[in-house]
Amino acid sequence: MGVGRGGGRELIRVALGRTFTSVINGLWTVFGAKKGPLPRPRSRRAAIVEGNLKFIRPPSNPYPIQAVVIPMPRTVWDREPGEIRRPGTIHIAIMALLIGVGAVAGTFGSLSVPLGYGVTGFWPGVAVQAVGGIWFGMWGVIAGFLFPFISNSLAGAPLYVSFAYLPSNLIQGLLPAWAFRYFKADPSLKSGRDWILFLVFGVIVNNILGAAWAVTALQWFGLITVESVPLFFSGWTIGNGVPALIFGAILLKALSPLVVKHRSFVKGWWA
Amino acid sequence: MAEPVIRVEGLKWKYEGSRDWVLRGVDLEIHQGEFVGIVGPNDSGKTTLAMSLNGLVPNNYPGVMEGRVVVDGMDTREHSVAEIAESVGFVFPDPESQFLSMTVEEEVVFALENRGFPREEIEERMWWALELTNIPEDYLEKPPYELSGGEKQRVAIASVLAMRPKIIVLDEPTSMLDPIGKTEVIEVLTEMKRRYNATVIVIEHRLEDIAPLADKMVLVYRGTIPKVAPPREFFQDVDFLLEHDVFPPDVMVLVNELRRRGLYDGPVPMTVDEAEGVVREILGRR
Amino acid sequence: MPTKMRRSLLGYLPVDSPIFSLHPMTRLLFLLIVSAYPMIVRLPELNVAGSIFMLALFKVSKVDLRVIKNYKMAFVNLFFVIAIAYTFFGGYNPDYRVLIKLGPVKVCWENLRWATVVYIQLIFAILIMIFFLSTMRERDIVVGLRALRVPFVLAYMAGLALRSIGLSIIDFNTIREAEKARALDLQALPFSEKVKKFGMYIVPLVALAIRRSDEVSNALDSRGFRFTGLRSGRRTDYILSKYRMTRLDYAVLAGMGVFLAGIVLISVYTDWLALENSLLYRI
Repeated sequence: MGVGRGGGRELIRVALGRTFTSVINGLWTVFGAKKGPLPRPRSRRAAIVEGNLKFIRPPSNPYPIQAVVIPMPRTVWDREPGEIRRPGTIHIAIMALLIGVGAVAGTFGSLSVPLGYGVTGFWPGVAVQAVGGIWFGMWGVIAGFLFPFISNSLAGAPLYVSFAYLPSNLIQGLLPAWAFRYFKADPSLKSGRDWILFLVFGVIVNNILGAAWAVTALQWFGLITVESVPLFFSGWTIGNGVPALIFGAILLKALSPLVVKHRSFVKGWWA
Repeated sequence: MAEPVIRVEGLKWKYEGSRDWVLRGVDLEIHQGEFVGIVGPNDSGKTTLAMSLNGLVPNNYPGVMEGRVVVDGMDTREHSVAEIAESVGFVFPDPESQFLSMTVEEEVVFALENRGFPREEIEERMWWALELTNIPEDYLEKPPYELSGGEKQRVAIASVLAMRPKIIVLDEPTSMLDPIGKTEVIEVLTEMKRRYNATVIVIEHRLEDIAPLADKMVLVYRGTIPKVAPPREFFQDVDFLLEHDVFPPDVMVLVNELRRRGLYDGPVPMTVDEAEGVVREILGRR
Repeated sequence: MPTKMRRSLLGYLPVDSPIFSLHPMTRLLFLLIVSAYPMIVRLPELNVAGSIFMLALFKVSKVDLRVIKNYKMAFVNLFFVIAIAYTFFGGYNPDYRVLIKLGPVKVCWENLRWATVVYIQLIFAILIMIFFLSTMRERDIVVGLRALRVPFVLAYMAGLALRSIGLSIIDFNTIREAEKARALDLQALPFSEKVKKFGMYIVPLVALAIRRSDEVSNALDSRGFRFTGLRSGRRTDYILSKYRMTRLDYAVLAGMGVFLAGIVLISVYTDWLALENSLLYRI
């Protein structure tokens, strides 16, 4: 089997790529204009593209079992030959400023449709978490991890509740950051694939995981009853999911073309 | 003649994504202790030139550079901005954008802390800079953002002065200030010229204030330097300046007009007092 | 003569407030240690006592009590959320005493009692947070963190982040005022329209933050700041050296620590702090 550079890592990418393709097929089946799987490419050698790899679908086998490396167009995540990237003061600055923007956006949300304990029916701060991670790597993730602590405190959440939410805030920024880098999605959301990746990892899965942790923590602290878990879980998921989709997409579409050219843009995790 | 403290040789600069060169082959030499005024119309490349003197260009901005800039023996392509900052202090146009701390005291000592000076020396330099910029002691605990425009810019200058750099670059330090603030900053520049023998480079639109202080005036026009001269010589050809979108002070334009009409053939005055003398001389003759 | 004021994170505080006689590190640790009390103690009587103690601290520290009024809506919302969560979603046990029956919903005394316990506990916790925000300046947080030997770059980032909140609020208000000047009344809009308008705020806010990052980075570099990871290098801590820990600081820290250890030990080894000892549980 001709797996390209990267050995094990690429195999994982292959596996995830197949899963991801199945998800796309599924979504297409549910929401697409036509019933059935994604239309097959006209050419038998047409391909499923994952990052720099192109998996050739043999005519007789519906699943990609062979992979060969075919140079793909450069993405915003690829480094130029000889390009040196180092963390610098620009990253410190962008992280701090993102905390400021996130705290303002988060406080606005926490006060507008409060469900209690900082859980809100509308929390635009999550958009800053998602796009911050996508654009600025770990700097954005850390900013997204910390600013709810401030916005929740300003909105009147006790310290320990804010502490309890930290893992939720981490995952909500980290997951889209990882997904966009791993699958080399374009932050400008140029293709349907980019949109689906954003929808899956920046809107749905990250917020479901965030909500799951948050309500578990609230329940551990005895602040909510087991019976009210669905209320808070759905409040968190919807309250985060809707603004993540609307504002996240607006921010990515409007500002990504500028951000990717800015020196604060992070192609790896730290620079 | 002594080695220049700043040497710009054939500097060309183009920002990434831009088709046009902002600087198109600039040559400039500045010597230790000179007070240099840089003038020119908007978008002529003055700020880019200023930023190339402390290494912000090319270190902090992606782009294409040709030629070289050597500041106090450091080639700006080979040294970081932080290294160059040991010799060059930089004051930005917007005082708020350069504040890094929450109180005036922290702001003024920030660079000194970075350089690892002993506590006593930090304190001594801080008081010296505050005194030179006329900032009262009871401002130390205040957030710099709550001061007036002129006070803000004076704090910014004090923060740079405290480092006692060999070279201070001020990029349009009065452009965002009200008239009172502008006067306060010009007074500080005058005091700096009188008491602090550093190389001072000021980009400024208020020519009437800068001309009397400057040892040398530099005209930047469309990414080039068409004229470098001592102020008196620089302003002699008022028409040349007007052709290059630089508007000399009214007194100079007035006397230039008098020269054109054959009423006066002496040098162009630099100050209102000098202009008054010229007018009195003409009136006395009639 | 007007009293000289210092700006805190939530407002202004007189310069002669006794809170300023404490080292910023002590005040920072106050938040961390005292916030643990309502986490550990559920007994409402103790949490009411804690809340009264906090109100007394507000008074002694000369904090303008109007700052608490700003949180009026937060307290009211919290009350309703807890009340609804515990009555409608509080669960039912045949042993519970039903107070009111609203169709299928049974409002039980046990659920209401538990809601009261949680609400009182949260009021104490929130008052601690408001007190902290009302008495700390950005500088105090940075000094406190530096005194706790947090690497300079992290302490500095914390300060810069707090400052950037102020900048973002100014930007946010500027954009909002511009919208108002064009006769937009956000309050009068339905929620869906508010959401749309918020999109107009968040894009310029983030764009301004990105532009500001250039300015801050240029200013940091121009003042000789070198990013060396978590190592502080040769940096002098001049500002920190201006603060001294006094006997009062050590006494306050010891008092808070002993009290915390005390309630931990009491709650682990005795049932003195058990809810059953509360008056609410004897009704």
